[in-house]
Amino acid sequence: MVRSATTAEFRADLHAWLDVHEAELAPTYRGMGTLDEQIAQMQRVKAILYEADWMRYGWPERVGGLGGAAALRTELGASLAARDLMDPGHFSLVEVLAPTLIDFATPALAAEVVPSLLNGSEMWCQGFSEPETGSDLSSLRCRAVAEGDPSTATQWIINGQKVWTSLAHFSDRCVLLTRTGPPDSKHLGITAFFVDMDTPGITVRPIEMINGVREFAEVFFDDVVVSTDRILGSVNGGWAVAMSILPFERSSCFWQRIAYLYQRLQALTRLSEPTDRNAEIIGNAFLELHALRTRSRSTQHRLAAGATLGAETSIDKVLVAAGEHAVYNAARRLLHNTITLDDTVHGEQWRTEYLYSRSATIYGGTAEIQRNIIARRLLNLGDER
Amino acid sequence: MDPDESELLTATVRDALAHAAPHASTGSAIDALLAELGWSDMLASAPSEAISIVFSCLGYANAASSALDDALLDALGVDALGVDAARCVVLPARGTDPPARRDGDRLVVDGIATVRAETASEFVVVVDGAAFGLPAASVRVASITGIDPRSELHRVQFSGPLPKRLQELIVERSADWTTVVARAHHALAAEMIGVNRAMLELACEHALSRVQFDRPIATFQAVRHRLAESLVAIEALGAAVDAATEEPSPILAMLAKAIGGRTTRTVAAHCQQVLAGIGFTTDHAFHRYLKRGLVLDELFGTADDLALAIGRTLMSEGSVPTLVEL
Repeated sequence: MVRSATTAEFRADLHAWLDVHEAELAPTYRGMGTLDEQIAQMQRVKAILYEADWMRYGWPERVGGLGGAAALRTELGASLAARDLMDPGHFSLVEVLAPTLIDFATPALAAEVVPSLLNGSEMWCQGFSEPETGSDLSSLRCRAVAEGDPSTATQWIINGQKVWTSLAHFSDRCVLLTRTGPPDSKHLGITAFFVDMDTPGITVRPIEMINGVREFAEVFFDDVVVSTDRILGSVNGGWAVAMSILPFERSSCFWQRIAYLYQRLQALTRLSEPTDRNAEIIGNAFLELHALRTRSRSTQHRLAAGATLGAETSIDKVLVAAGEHAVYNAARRLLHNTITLDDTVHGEQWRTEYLYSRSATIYGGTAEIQRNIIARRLLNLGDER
Repeated sequence: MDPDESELLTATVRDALAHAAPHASTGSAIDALLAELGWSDMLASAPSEAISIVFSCLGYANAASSALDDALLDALGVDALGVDAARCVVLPARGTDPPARRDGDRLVVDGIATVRAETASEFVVVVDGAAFGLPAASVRVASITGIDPRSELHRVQFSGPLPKRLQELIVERSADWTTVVARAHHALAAEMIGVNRAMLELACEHALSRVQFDRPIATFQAVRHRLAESLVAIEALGAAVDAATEEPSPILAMLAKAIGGRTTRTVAAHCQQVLAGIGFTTDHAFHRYLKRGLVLDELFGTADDLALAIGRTLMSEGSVPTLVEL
């Protein structure tokens, strides 16, 4: 097995290996495939990569990893996205969920379950948002009550609803945020659980997105019993769990998404007539991506140097949305009738992705929330009235 | 240069410039100050970092200078000092094409130059891969007032027999116009960071102190979002300039300059709107930055020019390269 000393060497070794195994890794469907096909493809590729060790670099040895810098995982995800081997959004759930288990689950639980996520035998989802909890996560209401005294209880009963839970209907487990304090306890009364999705009382209802794909779901919890050893972090310490995800979401997940956006802009460039009008649109989209990529790179360098990421990542979030819109707005302007009228797999892919790109200013805290954070925390403009 | 050193140098240059009150100083006075700060040594030992730091400070201070001449002569490998005074580089009046062309055995030059045009011994032009020095006496120099008189630019014209080549002065480098353009793009992009940071600071100060309807206008979300949007653009420009500083390359410098032009438009528009009435007057400092930003965007290609050029390259190569890696 290759033991690369630096990220650059790792990248070179990885690409050499991916070149050799291209046929084995490639999707069997044309275009983007159905969601079921995409998920099957991702789990198949993860299994191959885990077997070949690539999926283990950057993860701690106690959860089946081979150690090394987290940047190695980021490189892997970005390389897969750049080669169109899987949807970077689906793949990056690993990056969001595995660190949560590693940092907040009991060591025994983390060692038991994390390898299954890495090797493609399991899918997990993130149960955060609720119907009345969008950008204001701390107002969530899905309730967990201890059976008996909370300090000695061995079981908790969960009741409530989640929404926008990505891939819940494909998932074996869920990292779930619940209300355990008084209703108005905000971020001080939240507890995170690791819940098996086949527990009695859980109902999943997929939601069809604007592009026709059923990626999200509503998840209903009706007297769902969860054992105390499935609490992540401490009781009423769930806000820290939720916040710990932010640095991963805003560094490696973004880097993977950025790699995919470059790949799509390249595809668009090859499909478009080389007129000055088109060149100007492509050039401007490229400027957005370069601004985003250089910013994301410096954020990740700070993270690797030990910095704690905070409010300044709202800038990265705004830039990701701008990059996403730049690429797909360019596609809409350059590929006439493709998004609107083309029923081939080619048209289907651009249409689906164009519609999906509209979510960039909404998910993970809206563009407006990010600007509020920037104004208050980075520009020190004080509170809004 | 490690981060601490670079931070220290930034603070030193910024404070020295602030102390010199550039809005009341001439470009020549700023040049003298830069000389005292050891600008030519910095440029010789770590050109890319020195340019990034010094130009960003110049932009922030709204200072005119001839630092660009030194940066470009260094890129050309031509000594900044001529026979009895400094050399001055002729810059394109528009776009990135060289401002000089050969017409048989004659040379025709029409471009612009920094404040150094007033005192230069020689004007340097690049034609067909060689640098030529035009004796100052043979060159027509006229000062430009324009929208930003304080940028102290000059129109420079020459038409005459091919003058002496400076090639023998060039050490280890060819007089490659591409390296001049790349250096200029990097320096101007860095200068735009400073210009934009200054505009945003002025707008934030105003938003916090200006009271309307019994509250500072900084409490209005519409105002806050404009200022936030400005910071996003500036931070992205900063990252693009850092990438160009770390790895000097024509494409990274050009991208930084193009992003700089776009950023300047965004930030100027938002900040001017927030500053409203007072920003519309010459009593407030904002107008100086707005005008400097407009001039900097024009030099060596506007954001539009560069976006088009980059787009053409991507389309002809059929490739969208990621350029920077982790």
